[in-house]
Amino acid sequence: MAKGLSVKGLKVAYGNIEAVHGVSFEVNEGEIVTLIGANGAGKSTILRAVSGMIPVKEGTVILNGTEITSWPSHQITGLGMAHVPEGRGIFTRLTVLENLLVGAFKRKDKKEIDGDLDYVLGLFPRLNERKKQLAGTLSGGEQQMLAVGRALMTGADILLLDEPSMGLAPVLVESIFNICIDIAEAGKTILLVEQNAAMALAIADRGYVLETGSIAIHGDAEYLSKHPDVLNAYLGGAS
Amino acid sequence: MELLIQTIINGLLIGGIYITISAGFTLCFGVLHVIDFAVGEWVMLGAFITFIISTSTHIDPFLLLPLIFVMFFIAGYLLQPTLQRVITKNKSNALLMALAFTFGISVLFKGAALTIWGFNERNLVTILSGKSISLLGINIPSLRLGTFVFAIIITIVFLWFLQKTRFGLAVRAAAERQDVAGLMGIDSNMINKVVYAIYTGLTACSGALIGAIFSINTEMGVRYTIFAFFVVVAGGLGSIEGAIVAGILLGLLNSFISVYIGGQYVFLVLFLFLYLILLAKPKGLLGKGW
Repeated sequence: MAKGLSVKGLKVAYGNIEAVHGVSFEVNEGEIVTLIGANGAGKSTILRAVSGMIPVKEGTVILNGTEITSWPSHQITGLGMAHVPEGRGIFTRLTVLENLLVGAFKRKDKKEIDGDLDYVLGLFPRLNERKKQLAGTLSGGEQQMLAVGRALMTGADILLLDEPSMGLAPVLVESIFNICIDIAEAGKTILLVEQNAAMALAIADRGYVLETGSIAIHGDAEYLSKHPDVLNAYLGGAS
Repeated sequence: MELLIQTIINGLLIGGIYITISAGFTLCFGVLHVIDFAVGEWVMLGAFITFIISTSTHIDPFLLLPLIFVMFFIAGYLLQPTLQRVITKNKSNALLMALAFTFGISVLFKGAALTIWGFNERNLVTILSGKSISLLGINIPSLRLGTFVFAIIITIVFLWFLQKTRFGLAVRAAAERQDVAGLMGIDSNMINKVVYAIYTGLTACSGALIGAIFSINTEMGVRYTIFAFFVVVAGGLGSIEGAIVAGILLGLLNSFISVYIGGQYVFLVLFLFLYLILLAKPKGLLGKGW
């Protein structure tokens, strides 16, 4: 059984308007793969369809060898994939610790949960300091850490990160990407959706460039970061 | 002075029941985003069913509370999927659809009750009825004290469930973001069903308690629908802490208005207060609502 995420011919529509026109990509175990593209290219839509938040019109989604196309998201949780949604989606009226425990909602093994909780709080010491605080009082960067930590608490090996750098100060953006590297080094697989193409390509192994609902270019991160089209459109020109 | 203290005590004791109604009503709104117009009719049905079981089995209404909770829990659990379908079918007007649907439910319940049981008033007799405790010259009716204690116990169990259990955590998460809760493995359809079921169960139990204090009739519901709206708006939409404070306030206001102004002015003065609260604190008494 091949570990990882494989998406074939994915089409997603909002009402009658098709937003994603037959996109295929693969994320293999241990990779950091990035999906870059302009605002409105359909990046978030793809992630939302993959994790069952919105219905798939056509195509297949295969997670660790199991076809999960159009499964409701609560059934996908626990199969090894977790989605950190755009805008972080933390539960502001719950404490930091409660947010993390919600992540472990489907898991039964108390020892494993405690182990992962220690791991997450070790990874994000800031969250450890604030674990009794309401999550709504955290800063943007801390909320992003919490969203990632919560996803890790589901026990997933594959993380889908939707615009983790959005709305963060440059110094924090860097620390978020460093966290991605740390998590990948700990053996996790990451699918990173980003508008910040330079940062995303700097840490990714491979990438896909999405233009108006279709994949325009794909390849190794190094290849992409030197590709003239990518340079012009996403990296501020060849300088 | 004695009258004042008596009024305060009566108000507080009655407030306990309003808390029970509003805690469930608030949770229902917070999680399902449904304002249930039929809340008062659940109170009425709870009171009637308790009366029927109690008179035919001669079991004290207080002892019937768990049974009433279970019966109405099941009723709510079975009804919720229909409500859910009505709301999700027309997403842009979910709130309005919910209002229309629950308004229909309330008319149906009231009409059915009227047809089956007629206009006659009934009294729910408990072991505490007619007794009272004298404390430093203040007369405390045992029945009111008993219902207060039960109402508080029910509310505490409810809050404990919400704050301390794994399922309660899921409910609170789903109340804020159902889509993200789904990503965490929480089945929001199931949460919605259980939340509605808890709400109908709690409301029916408070109906039994209300029935023990006041008389029961098929027209009683609308009064409690209005009270529930008062508590939830004054406490701040979706805020359970606010609902508790507002529930006590409602009990006190009721008691004071009845004693010092006159029973017929209860709604008038109540809504004057609600108006002032909304002017001064639009997010509710504790400022924690929407």
